[in-house]
Amino acid sequence: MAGTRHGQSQGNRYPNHHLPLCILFVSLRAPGSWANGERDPATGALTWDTDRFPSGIPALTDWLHEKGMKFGLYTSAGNATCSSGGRPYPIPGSEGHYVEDAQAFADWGVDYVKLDWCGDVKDNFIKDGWYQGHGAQMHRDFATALNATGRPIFFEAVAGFWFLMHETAEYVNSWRFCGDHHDEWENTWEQVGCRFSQGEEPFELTRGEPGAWPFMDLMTIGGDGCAPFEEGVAGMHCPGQTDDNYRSEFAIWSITQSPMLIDSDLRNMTAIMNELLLNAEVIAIHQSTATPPGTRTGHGAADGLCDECQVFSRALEGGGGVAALVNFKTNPKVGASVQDVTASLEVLGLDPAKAYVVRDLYAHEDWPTPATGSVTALGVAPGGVAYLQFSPVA
Amino acid sequence: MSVSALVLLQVKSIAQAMVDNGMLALGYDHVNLDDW
Repeated sequence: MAGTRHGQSQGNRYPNHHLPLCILFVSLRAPGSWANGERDPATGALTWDTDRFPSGIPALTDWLHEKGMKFGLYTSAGNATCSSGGRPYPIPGSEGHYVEDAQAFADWGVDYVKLDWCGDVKDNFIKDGWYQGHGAQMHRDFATALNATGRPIFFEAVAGFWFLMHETAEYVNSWRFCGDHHDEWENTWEQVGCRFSQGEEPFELTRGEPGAWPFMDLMTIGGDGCAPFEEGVAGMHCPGQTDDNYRSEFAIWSITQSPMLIDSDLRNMTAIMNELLLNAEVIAIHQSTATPPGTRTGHGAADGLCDECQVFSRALEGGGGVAALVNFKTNPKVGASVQDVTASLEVLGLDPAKAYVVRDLYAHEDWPTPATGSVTALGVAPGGVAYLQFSPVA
Repeated sequence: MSVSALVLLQVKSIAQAMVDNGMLALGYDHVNLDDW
């Protein structure tokens, strides 16, 4: 991302500074795939599945827009999507139809497009190294087609980083560093590792800026579902992580300003879903673009932290900041354990010469005494977090 | 009701839940369809 800085936009990317907070409709163990199995034989146009959307996608976008909501859908850079959504035939991707499909999405009122990379694009990426040329050009072409419609459409390119590398932020609004996120703590840990172990060279791509957001895939707060949809019956969650794990997931996604797309059934809000997803203090920090996104600023003993502990921090306006002190010590090989997590103010990106009022963003209360020099979060659960805001003492 | 016919109902019921539980007011404003 040479030449880019926080707050700037790029010439080939739609300068969409919106940081999505979404429900991603994949969680209910019922098909959500929207496209028809065949393009229109006469025009080659991609169409919607008329059994699933009998009134059409434009009618659905109108309905959502009237409620003040936005609508996103999915396609593939290759010749097929990754899943057929429960149907016994493949669903076409957008390959060879980028201009037509992008214009159709714009005409239908679509606000967000996820471009996956299944079908031949993935096969040839592995076999023939398409990332060296053709695959990258496919992503550039799709971005150009979206921008040519003139409609502000948020562009998520799942494999954008792998194909475009240092050009990524010039073309897309969000990208991934890892495979799919599943509702397992080890996999949550892997998402974090993928993003923050890329080395120094692509640092700005791991951190992001307004309009160009690194994405750690879906959040699974509360559990991503385990039973088919039934009319009038709220979905079951069957959580795969502990509540402490979900608190860590929500803290890391929000402090580093990953888009927060939720893979849980919101018609059945459990206690942990209410606690986290409706935390207005955290949402306000996530949505603020007044300061650069947070990043990992401490990792284990090398930064004076406890074993398997990591710190993520972000500066806020007014000289304060926010920090997530995470106890990752849950690996059976090293033993899960409650740990006190101590970090210097310097590791948190704060001025070690100042004192700070500490606010627990999950308990919604201030600590009784200001922090000076360092901060210690007592008894952080295995896979858990202390999520703290720091305001300089006047 | 067939599975196919339930999809649209499901999308709209999720969106309505976001309105009713206060998530839309907090800023959760997208409903996205994936390929599952």
